[in-house]
Amino acid sequence: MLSFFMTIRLEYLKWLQSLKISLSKNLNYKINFLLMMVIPVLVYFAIKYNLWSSIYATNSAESIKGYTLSQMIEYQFWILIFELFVRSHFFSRNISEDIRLGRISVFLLYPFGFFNYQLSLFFSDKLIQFFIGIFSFFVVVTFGWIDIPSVGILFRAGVFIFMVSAFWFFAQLLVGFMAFWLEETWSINISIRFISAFLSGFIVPLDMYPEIISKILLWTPFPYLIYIPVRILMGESIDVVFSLFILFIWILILFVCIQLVWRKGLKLYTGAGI
Amino acid sequence: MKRSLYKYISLYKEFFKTSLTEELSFRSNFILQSLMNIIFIGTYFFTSFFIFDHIEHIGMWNEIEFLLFLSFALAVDQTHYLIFSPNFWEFSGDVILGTLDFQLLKPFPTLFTVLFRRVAVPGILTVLLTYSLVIYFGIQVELSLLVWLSLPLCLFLSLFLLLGIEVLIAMLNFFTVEGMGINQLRLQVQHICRWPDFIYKNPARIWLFPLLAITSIPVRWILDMSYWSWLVAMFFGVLLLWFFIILLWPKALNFYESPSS
Amino acid sequence: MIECKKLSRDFKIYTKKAGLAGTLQAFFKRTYYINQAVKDFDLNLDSHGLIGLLGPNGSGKTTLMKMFTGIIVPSRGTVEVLGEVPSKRKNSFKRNISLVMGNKSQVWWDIPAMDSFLLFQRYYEIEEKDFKRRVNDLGERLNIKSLLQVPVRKLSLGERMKVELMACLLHEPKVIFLDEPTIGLDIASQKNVRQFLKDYYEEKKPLIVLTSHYMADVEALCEKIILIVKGEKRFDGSIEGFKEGFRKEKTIVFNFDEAIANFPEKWRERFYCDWNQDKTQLRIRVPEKELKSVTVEILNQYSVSDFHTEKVSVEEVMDDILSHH
Repeated sequence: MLSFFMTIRLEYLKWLQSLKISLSKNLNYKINFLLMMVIPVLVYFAIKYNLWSSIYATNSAESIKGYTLSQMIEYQFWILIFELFVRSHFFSRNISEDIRLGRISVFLLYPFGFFNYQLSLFFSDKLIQFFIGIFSFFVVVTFGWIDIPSVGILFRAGVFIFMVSAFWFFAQLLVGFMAFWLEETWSINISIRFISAFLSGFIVPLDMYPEIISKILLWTPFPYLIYIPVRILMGESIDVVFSLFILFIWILILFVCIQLVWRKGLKLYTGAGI
Repeated sequence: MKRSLYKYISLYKEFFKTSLTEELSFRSNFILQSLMNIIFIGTYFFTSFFIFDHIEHIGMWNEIEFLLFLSFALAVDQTHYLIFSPNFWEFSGDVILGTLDFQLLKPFPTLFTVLFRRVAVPGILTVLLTYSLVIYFGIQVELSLLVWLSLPLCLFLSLFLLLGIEVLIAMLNFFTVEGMGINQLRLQVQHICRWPDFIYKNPARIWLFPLLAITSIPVRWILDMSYWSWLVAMFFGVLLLWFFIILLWPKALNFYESPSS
Repeated sequence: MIECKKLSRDFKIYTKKAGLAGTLQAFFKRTYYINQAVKDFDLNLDSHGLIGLLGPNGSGKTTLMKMFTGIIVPSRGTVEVLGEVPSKRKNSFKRNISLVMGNKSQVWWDIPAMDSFLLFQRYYEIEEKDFKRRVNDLGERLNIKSLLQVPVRKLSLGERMKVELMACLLHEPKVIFLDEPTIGLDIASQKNVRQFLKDYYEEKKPLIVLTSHYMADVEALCEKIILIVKGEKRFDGSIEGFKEGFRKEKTIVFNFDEAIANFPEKWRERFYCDWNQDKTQLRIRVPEKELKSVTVEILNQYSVSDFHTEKVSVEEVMDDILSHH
């Protein structure tokens, strides 16, 4: 029994140390960190804010597809906050590099698995993002740009943040593992970003898309990455259970794929450069 | 003069050949990068289509005019991708790893070799695609002969304004080791100039004007020839910018510390 | 050909305490110190010669070379190479120099070396005829002709180094800087590269400045040695002068007719003594001043069959110098 607790404690210490190191790394490159995590989200917001203001002004429309200007701006503000919470770093690039240059060999020897290591990196990112997210939430609320939702809604949003983060973690891992077969994976990664931005309602709310498209999309993971959680945050009543279920299925699919790819990949892995 | 021009051209030919040789040794890369660019262009166009399902105008432009703007902005973007983009990434790496040493040793202006030595060959496909889109929408809005003839100049001005701003940003590499962040900053400049200047409100519009000018001034001229004076102003602006860069570049190079691994 | 006066270069080094607290502290305020990599360095070299630049790790050898080639700019002092200031980075200057770095590579990784060479041909505007001749000639001498069509990443370390060397000689530079050209190579490849450099030098008579951790390189190649320690010049002269100047002790080898059992304590304490197993041979290190007296005393006390002083190698001298720092 004691040894069991010892093991737990040791595992915990390994985790803590990995977490600390990657936090250190992130904060060390502070400009990088700010430029990569925060600036793009702010720039996107600024573009969309200006774009929609201009569209409503020139078309002198009260509402477009049910959105008034202030609702559209609110939608974009919520994306800003939500993105700051869930935006995942380009860490699949590091995984690919680790594989291509043979650095994962180290993890095949360490008593601390490759997955655990990646997960601890991911947690360190999330920890920092959590503070940034909370901070920006308070800023936006203080200026009265959005209303504070009820506790129930915040709780639901929290579950979404967790699930969407998990989705991106697995998706990035999967793309990273493609390096077992491909020389470069960044083009896949960026393609996925373009597609997900387009299909998740990042620029235009999904109900402005042709009906057939938005209907099909409900069976893909994309709307649940941004559009649905943001609509929930805006106070819309949406079937949360169904949404989370679909997202969960997709995470499960990714998880299974990762297991398969990792096993197949390791067989191919030549350990270049060790 | 003629001889030195020949010198540059034959070096560039060799740059292209080496990039092509390298690119072709990874075939999957070629396909994946082309696909990425096509998706990129596709998402911009479909987003515009979906927005125009519900509205008539963005600013002073209707759908076709806006799509012409978008095609031009993407044509600039893809040309930039083809010729310059890999060089900026390589440059950051070179400054951090100290491999810029070799560029400094070569008997050619460093600014030239740093900016031109790699070509993202897969970009050719999408460059052709975006040029055709510009021509297609140009026919739709019935451009005059003078405007047609001025298109290469417009593209050139846009490209070199964008490039100039990016070079200024890239010089930051000499003062910090955070190359990834600096490249991220460059990408933000590209994002901002992919939308017309008039969507931005003051004071953002005034402060960001040099960035917005990259695509907005040429397209304003293309759609309305009364903006000719803006284009002339841009021409001198670009000239001034590059004069300044050529002065500043050697000074920035002096800060290079050549780290050894 | 190379002339520098009071040449100095400083670097700012940022520091950070270990741990998260240190990271947070560094996030807001960075601390640094100034490292003087090269201090008041004076030098004057002829238009040809094989010069060894020696010094322990971090002594400023590479920094010095980077200032000679114009890669980095001096903090203070002046330097002229081929009558030009390197940091002005004139094309005419760059056409006449070359730098090989053992730990950095200039040939493209994923394509055959020949493709990189074609690129360098354009950089240096080498005539087609000359280019072909040189590739042929250098390829043959370095014995890598058949490897020029293979992607560089598939080559062994030794083969890669030869490719790097070849790349830097294609334009027949007047001044060649070689920073650790044999690092990481096995003995055979080291010898190979060494021989090549020697032959190349004999034929073309350029100025070659070379740093190396392998003293065998220096011993075999260099006519002249410059020693740099902690950024300062400590020696500048011939190999012989170097050995004499720094080697204050000499090793004498005595062969005795019979095993020596009772060697005086006073010598064992004062000098480094090394006996063979059956105690018939002694290698003893004696300061130059006492050389004569010690030798005479041993010859008088024991029956010596044969004795000689040992030749010192550069390696031993370097060992001495390094152990004093």
